[in-house]
Amino acid sequence: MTPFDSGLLAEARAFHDEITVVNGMDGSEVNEDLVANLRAGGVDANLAGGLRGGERPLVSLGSPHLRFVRENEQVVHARSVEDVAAARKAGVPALVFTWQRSDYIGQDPSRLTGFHALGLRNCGLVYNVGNYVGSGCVDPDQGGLSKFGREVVERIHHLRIVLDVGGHSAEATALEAIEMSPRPVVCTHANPRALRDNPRNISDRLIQAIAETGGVVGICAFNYFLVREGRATVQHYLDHLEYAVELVGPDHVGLGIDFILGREISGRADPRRFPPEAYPQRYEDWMIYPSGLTDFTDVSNVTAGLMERGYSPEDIRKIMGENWLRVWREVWEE
Amino acid sequence: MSDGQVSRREFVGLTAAGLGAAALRGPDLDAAEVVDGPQSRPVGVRPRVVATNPMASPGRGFEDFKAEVERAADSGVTLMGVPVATTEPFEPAARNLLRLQEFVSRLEDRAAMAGTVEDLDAISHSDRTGIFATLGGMTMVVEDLEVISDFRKAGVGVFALSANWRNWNGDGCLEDTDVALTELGVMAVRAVERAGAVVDLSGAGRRSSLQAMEVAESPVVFSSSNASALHPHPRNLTDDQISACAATGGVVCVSAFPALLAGSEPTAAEVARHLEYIAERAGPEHVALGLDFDDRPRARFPSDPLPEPPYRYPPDLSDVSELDNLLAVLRERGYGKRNLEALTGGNLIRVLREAWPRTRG
Repeated sequence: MTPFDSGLLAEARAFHDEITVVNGMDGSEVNEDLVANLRAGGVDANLAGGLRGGERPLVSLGSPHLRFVRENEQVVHARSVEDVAAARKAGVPALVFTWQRSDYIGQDPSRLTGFHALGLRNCGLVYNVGNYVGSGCVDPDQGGLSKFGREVVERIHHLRIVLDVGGHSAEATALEAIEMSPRPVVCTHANPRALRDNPRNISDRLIQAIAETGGVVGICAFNYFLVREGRATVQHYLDHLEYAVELVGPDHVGLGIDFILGREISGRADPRRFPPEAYPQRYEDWMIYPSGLTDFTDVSNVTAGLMERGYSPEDIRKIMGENWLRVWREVWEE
Repeated sequence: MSDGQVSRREFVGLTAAGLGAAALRGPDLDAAEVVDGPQSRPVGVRPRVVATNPMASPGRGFEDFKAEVERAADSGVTLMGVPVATTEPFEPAARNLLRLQEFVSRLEDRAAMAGTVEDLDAISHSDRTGIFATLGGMTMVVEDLEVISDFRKAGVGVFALSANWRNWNGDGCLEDTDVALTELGVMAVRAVERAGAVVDLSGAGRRSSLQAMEVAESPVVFSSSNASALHPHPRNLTDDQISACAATGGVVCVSAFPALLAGSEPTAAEVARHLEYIAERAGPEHVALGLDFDDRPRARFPSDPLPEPPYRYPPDLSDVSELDNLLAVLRERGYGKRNLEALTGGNLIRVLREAWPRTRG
């Protein structure tokens, strides 16, 4: 079942293959299936931020993810925009690594240096619930950064890692981090709260604050962030993209899909970290993605949808990938 | 005792094996009058309890610990709180606890671990100094509240929710923010109580502490905090915090730490002023001795309002052997014997007895 007519789809796929497609957040298992799926979907670069529960963090000494990218010739471990370009030239996807939370460094911000050396290029601060750095989006009382949090943000910028705020972290924390940032800041994966009132979704104010830094808001395809009931479709996703573009313009919006392909999660969600107002309470329901956007082979549907909605080729290039590349270039390079 | 890695399973096993106060031998005396003066060792005396003495922390080594036990004995201190961790994660905290228990067992004629009501009874009938382990900041817990019960089984009787700065539970008093407890923080208060230990709120931010006191079903302590009304400092307590502590049935343990006292050269009389203020506001059952002697750096960030060591403690109250100077000041100010006994130890013992399990099993 396809949401678009075959003529548009064919045109969209051709255009999609031509442009550089970047997904700004992904939670899938880092393995051969992911790489094959990215390739089949024409996705050139993917920010990998998922974790299997209890595993060492991505980008740590001995992490299986690093070993995988080192040993596998069908994927490039990208630490620079050049790496992304080289991957595209070689016809293989590029993986960039991120953390969605900063507490792997314990109480010592200088540990970020080592992780950066291993490949950490994007970093979130807080994952839903408050930690040493700041408040989370589901905390009953939300405030700004702690003193330690400010040191962490300073270190992230010093290392030229992309700072990722909002969505999982509380708005007050996000805004304070933005204020102390000399470079573009992003929100890799969130949705406009104006369209879907969910505490995990972000306000117009935060979307604008990120745009003002020159950054990008990645739109997430998690079903419960798109709709309150039932199964969303790719059109809902496109509505969210469009809302953000209308708010801050085509330079500050991108894909932040956050699939969780290959993850075997089941049972009841921990209500403390994933309360019912923000998340489905059965993990099985997290695996249900919008129809028309169920894995990377569907990403060209987004291209098609943007074409159908009358976006210019230049704007589509930006939204589908160039905006992420711009931020990466500006932050990672001296 | 090895200096190697300590797994959680080993840790609980080692401590459950009965390190700590076993059967104490000591003369079974009726309670005697408090005997003044450092020469005599009061025995069977009404308790003198110091809530926290970082100078006795096991990280300082055995000789320093032994010296503190001797000072405590000189002063008739019958029970002393020793912090085994402030911001350390699980493994160093666990090792420090084991180290403390080992030090105490090396001094078995002079000291005994206290973690149960039975231990407190034994100590009150012996001439040993009781030592109770306290844990600060919950860095060792992170999100797994089971660690609280592990440390409880291992003998820790007091858990501080915060170590002055933001953590998973909520805010610290030295932050510029003042957020209330996270959901985990609420659960942590309950977990400490359920484990049969006491919640210590010194170091917690004001709103986090107030919420913790609302949530608490047992008496709480502030192990080292003074009255902000007498000397404003983020670590000192506002009047509503003092009232809330009293409302839980808990105690504020006053501090000799110089940053928490007014003036550049405070004396024991300053500490006495705080004791009086709190006793007057909250009632004489809600005040105790924290004291908090230390010589290690405490500030973590340039903006922390904390001095650098060496700290200028009151010259007449600079370590645990000088309690009599404080008591002399209080007597001069008209404190009667009964109230003195309550604030020197009775109040804190009451709180510990209410929270702690009867026996180790």
